[in-house]
Amino acid sequence: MNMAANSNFYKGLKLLGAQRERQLNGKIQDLLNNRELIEAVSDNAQMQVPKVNRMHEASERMSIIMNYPTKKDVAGVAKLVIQLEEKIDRIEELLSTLERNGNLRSNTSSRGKKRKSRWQSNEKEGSRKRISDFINDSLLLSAQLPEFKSFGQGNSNV
Amino acid sequence: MSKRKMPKNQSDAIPKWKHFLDIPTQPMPEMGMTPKIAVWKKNKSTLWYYPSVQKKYNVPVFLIYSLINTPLILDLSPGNSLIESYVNEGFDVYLLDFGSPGYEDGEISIEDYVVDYIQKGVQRALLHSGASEITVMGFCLGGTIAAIYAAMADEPVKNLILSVTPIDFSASPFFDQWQEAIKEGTADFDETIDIFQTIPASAVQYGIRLMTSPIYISPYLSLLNEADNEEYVQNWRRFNAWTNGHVPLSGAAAKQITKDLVIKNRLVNGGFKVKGKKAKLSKIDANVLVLANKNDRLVPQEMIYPIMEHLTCKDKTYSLLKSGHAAKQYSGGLPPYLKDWLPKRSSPIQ
Repeated sequence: MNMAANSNFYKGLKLLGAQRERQLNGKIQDLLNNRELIEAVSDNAQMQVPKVNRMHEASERMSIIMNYPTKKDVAGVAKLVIQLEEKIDRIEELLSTLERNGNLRSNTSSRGKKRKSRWQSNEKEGSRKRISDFINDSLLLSAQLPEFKSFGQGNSNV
Repeated sequence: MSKRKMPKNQSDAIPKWKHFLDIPTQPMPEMGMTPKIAVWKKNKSTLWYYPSVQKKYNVPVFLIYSLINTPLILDLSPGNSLIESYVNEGFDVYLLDFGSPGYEDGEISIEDYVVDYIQKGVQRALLHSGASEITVMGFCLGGTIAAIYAAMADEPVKNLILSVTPIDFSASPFFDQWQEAIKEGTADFDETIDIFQTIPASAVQYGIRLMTSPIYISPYLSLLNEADNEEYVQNWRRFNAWTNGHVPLSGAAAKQITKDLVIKNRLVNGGFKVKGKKAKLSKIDANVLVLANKNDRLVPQEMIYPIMEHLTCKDKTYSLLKSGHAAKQYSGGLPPYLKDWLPKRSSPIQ
């Protein structure tokens, strides 16, 4: 009897709490849904922007004397790592495309007229262009070398 | 020894409130236990591969979760995991986890996420699986970017599943006064976002909480009511960890969501471009399943259904479920709405 009463108490508390929560949430949301309020918040935030920017600039200047890295410096290093990762990613892609094309060629010759999927043929068509794009964009640009015309034409600098 | 692990008669003698107070001292239950392998990493993102228990379908499933929360909800615990359901059913699964963007990622826009992360991720999944087609499934905001991707994809997307995916942002039920001020430019946070580069996770959490439930006590009262139920407590804690596990949103993505999706409503009105390429919903040629939940307060079906009017593909299905935004329970197998729709469209292995 006592346990049943306890169980009803917790259940009742849950229902009552949920009901009150809904009512309060509605009131809070209605109260906050106010154009002047969001405009005031926006104005205030915009007023703070020049102050924060000045503090960032001061921090940058201080970092020269104090010899500590700022958040911008750390972000710069992180961006370099991301760039490097992207280059490795592209090399990985090219290798796997070359490998797939090699496999495709051997499969096609052994099995004759096997129908290729749209994805596979797109991959093959795109591989030549991607290889020359990659060499031009990533390798030659970073090495400041003359433009590489297309894959397979040979370039003693590469 | 845990009080909740006592014999039933002794455990019953302890009041629920004592169990309730004891909960924080208990170790956190494990999450994300379905076996997985990382097959690709880019910046903070990881492409996870969950091999099927026994492969029955040629078309793997590629999952895209929201940008503002972790995908832990997709693999909460054994018996309560969508990913586990897929792999048990015979699907190979790939999950693109965007990770947690930092200060240096402030310039990653929605376009970048679509091209540099999703498109590349799908290509990687296709290469890894050796499949010739793929199913893309997006959740919430992840569904929105999945739809944008499908509208400009060169890859063979056979099926597109959009779960609680906002498309028509003019139908958003929250803070219409705020939306008006932002649309008219009298409230503008771009410069503030530029300072921080990302919207911090805590701000994302409070923003979502403000829209759904600023006072948040009912989940705790539910927990109190079931405090002596070990299984309920474990599941509650896992779900609560996910609820509070928001991640920062990159500044450029936040600005593009505000300008292109909320202010201009470009997915519905047209004109959404990804790196100069038009992403029109009418260009989606995959089979599409759109899922909405009747009790979803965050993304009501008025924000979801308009996609059906813009899709021109022959095979499109709209399914209205009874649950809320994230209240999904998977009891080992795929839920009926997926089991009826997906297997026959996934090239079963004969």
